[in-house]
Amino acid sequence: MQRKVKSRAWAYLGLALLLVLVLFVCVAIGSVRIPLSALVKTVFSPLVNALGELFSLPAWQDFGQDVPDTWRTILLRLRLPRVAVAMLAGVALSLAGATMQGLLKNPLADPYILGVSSGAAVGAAAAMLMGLSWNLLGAFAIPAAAFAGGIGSLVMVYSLSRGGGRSVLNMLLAGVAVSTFLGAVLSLLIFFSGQQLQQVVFWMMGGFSGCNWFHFLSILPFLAGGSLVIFWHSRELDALALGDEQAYYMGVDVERVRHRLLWASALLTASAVSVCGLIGFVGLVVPHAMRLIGGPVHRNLLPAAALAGGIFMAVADLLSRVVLAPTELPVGVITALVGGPFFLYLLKKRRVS
Amino acid sequence: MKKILCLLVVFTLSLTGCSLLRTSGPIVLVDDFDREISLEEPAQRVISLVPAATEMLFALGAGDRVVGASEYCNYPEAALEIPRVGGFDGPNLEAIVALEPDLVLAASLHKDAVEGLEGLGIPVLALDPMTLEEIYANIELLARAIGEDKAGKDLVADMKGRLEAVGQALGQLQEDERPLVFYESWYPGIWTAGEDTFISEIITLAGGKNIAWGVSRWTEMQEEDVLARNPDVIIHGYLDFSLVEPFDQRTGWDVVTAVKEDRIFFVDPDILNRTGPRVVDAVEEIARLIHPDKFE
Repeated sequence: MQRKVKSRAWAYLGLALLLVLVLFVCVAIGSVRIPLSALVKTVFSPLVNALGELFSLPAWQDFGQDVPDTWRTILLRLRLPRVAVAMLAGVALSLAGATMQGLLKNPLADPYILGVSSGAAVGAAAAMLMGLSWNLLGAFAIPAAAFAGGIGSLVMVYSLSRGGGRSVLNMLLAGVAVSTFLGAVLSLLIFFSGQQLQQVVFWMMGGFSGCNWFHFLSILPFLAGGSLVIFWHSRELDALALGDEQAYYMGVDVERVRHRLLWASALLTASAVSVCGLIGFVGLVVPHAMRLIGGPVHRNLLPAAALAGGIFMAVADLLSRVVLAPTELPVGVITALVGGPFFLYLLKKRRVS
Repeated sequence: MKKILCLLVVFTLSLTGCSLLRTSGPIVLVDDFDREISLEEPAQRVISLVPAATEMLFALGAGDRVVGASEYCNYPEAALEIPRVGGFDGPNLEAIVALEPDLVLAASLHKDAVEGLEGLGIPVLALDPMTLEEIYANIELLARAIGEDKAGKDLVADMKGRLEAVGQALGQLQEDERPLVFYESWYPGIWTAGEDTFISEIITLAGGKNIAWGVSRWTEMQEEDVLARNPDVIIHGYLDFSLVEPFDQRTGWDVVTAVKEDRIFFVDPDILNRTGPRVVDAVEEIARLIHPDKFE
C-alpha cells in the first residue's frame, strides 16, 4: 500500500514535469525560427535585469536587451498565451470527459454528449450574425455568447429530463434531443449567415490561433472552480460508478452530487469551447487512455487525466502550427489523427496483457 | 493487329470530327476545365453566375445580353437590374431554365449546377482563372462566345496598356524599393492570398511584394509569420471594423512597421478579389497607395 502511494506520487510528479517541459518546447518551436538562446534570454531577462539593478552590475542590466522586439512579442505575447490556453482547454475537456464517462456510466460519453457543444456553437454563431463580434463588448462577445449557449443547452437538457426522475438514461436521451434540435438551429443560422459564413465555419473547426492572455484569464476562474468541485467529489464519483442505489447505501447524496458534477463539467466544457471552438477527441480519448494505464479509480484518474489532457492539447496545437507552416492545420485534425491510433494501441495492449 | 486497326479507325474518325467542327458554322469553345462546348451561333441570352464574368460581359459592351445574374453581380450599376437566379444557396435551376438562356457562365464552385444544366441541354462555360493571363484568356473566350472577338482583343489590349502605364510610372524598382505588402482577406485566423494567386500578381504589378511567400492559394497564415515578416503596408477589405479587430488593437501587432507608420489601406474587395476587368483598377489603386510619390 505504502509503495503504491509512493509510485503514484512519482507518476504525478513525472506528468507535472512533462507538462512544464512541453510548455517550454511548445513556446520554443513555431513557424518562425527563433534561437533557443533568445527564448532563454527573454524568460530570464526580467529577473537578471532586476538583480543587475539591485547590485548595479551593468552586464546583468543589459542581459537580453539584444533580443529583437518582434521575437519577444512572438514568444511572450503570441506563443506563450496560446500554449497556456491550449493547456487549459486540454485540462478542461479531459477532466469534463472523465467526469461525464463516470457519471453517465457510458464509455462513449465525452464533454459534448449533453449538448454543451451545439449550444455553444449556436451562441457563437448568433453573436457573429448579430455583428457582435467586435464592436460591442470587444473580444469578449463571442466567448461570452458561446459560454452562455453551452450553459443554456445544459439547462434545457436538465429541465427536460426532470420528468422521469432524472435518471441517467433520461438525461442521455434529452441530451441527444437537444443536440439534434440545436444542430438544426445552427444549420439555419449558417444558412442565413452569408458574409459571416467563413467566420462561423472557422469557429466550428476549432483552434487556438489568436488566443491571448485575455482568453487565458477569462477561462481560468471557471476552470479552477469546476476542477475543484470535481476533485472534491472524486470519491463519490467512484461510488456512483457502482450504481445509484449502491452509492446511496454508501452514504452519497446521489441527486445532489450528480447535480454538482454535471454543472462543474458543463462549466469546464463551456469555458474551453468558448475560447477554442469545437475540438473533438481529447475529452473522449485522454480519460480512457489514463484509465487503461492507471486504473479506473477516479481519485487517481482525474489528476492524471487533467495533466495528460493539457500535455496532449499543447502538443496537438504545436503540430498544427508546425506541420504546414506558415499555414496552419486545424487542431481537430491532429487530435483525431494522433489520438485515434494511440487509443487503439492502448486497447490492444491491454487485451494482450 | 485487329486492335491497332480499330485504333487507327477511331483516330482518323476523331480527327475528321474535330476538323469538321472547326471549319463549319458552330463556335467551339474550350473552358477552364477542358470541357468543349459548341454554340450554333453567338450567344444572345447569357446567364452569369459569376460577378467577374458579368463585369466582363458589360466591359465587352454586351451587358444587354445578360438576362440573368447571381445575387452578387453588383457591378456595373446596370447589373443590379438583371433578374437574379441564385445567391449563396446556389443557382436556382428552375429560374435559369425559365429565362431560356443559350449560354450559362459558371465558376468552379457551381459543379452541381453545371452538371444539372448540361443534363438539360443548356451549354455552360465554367471559368476558373488563377492568373492575369488566364483572366485575359477568359475575356477572349467570352468575346468569342458572343461573337465579338474584336471587342475581346481590344479590351485585353486596353488592360495591358493601362498596366504598362502603371509600370512606367513606377519605373525600374529595385528589390528593396518594393514595400512588403500583407493582404488580409479574413480575420480571425488570418486568411491571405498565397504567392501563386492573382492577388500576388496584382501586388507585384503595383510595385510591392506579397509577404505570403511559401503560402499557396487562399489560405490561413500564422500570426507570428506575419509579425516576423514585418509588412510595410497592410491591405484589407473591411469597410468598417465593427466585425473585425482593428490592426492596431491586436496583441503584438505594434511591432509591425505598417501599424507603426499607419500604412493600412482599404481596397474594395469587389475590385481586388474578382477575376474580372477591374483587376487593372486594383493595380492602379494599390500602386497609388503604396507609391504615392510616383503618381504626383
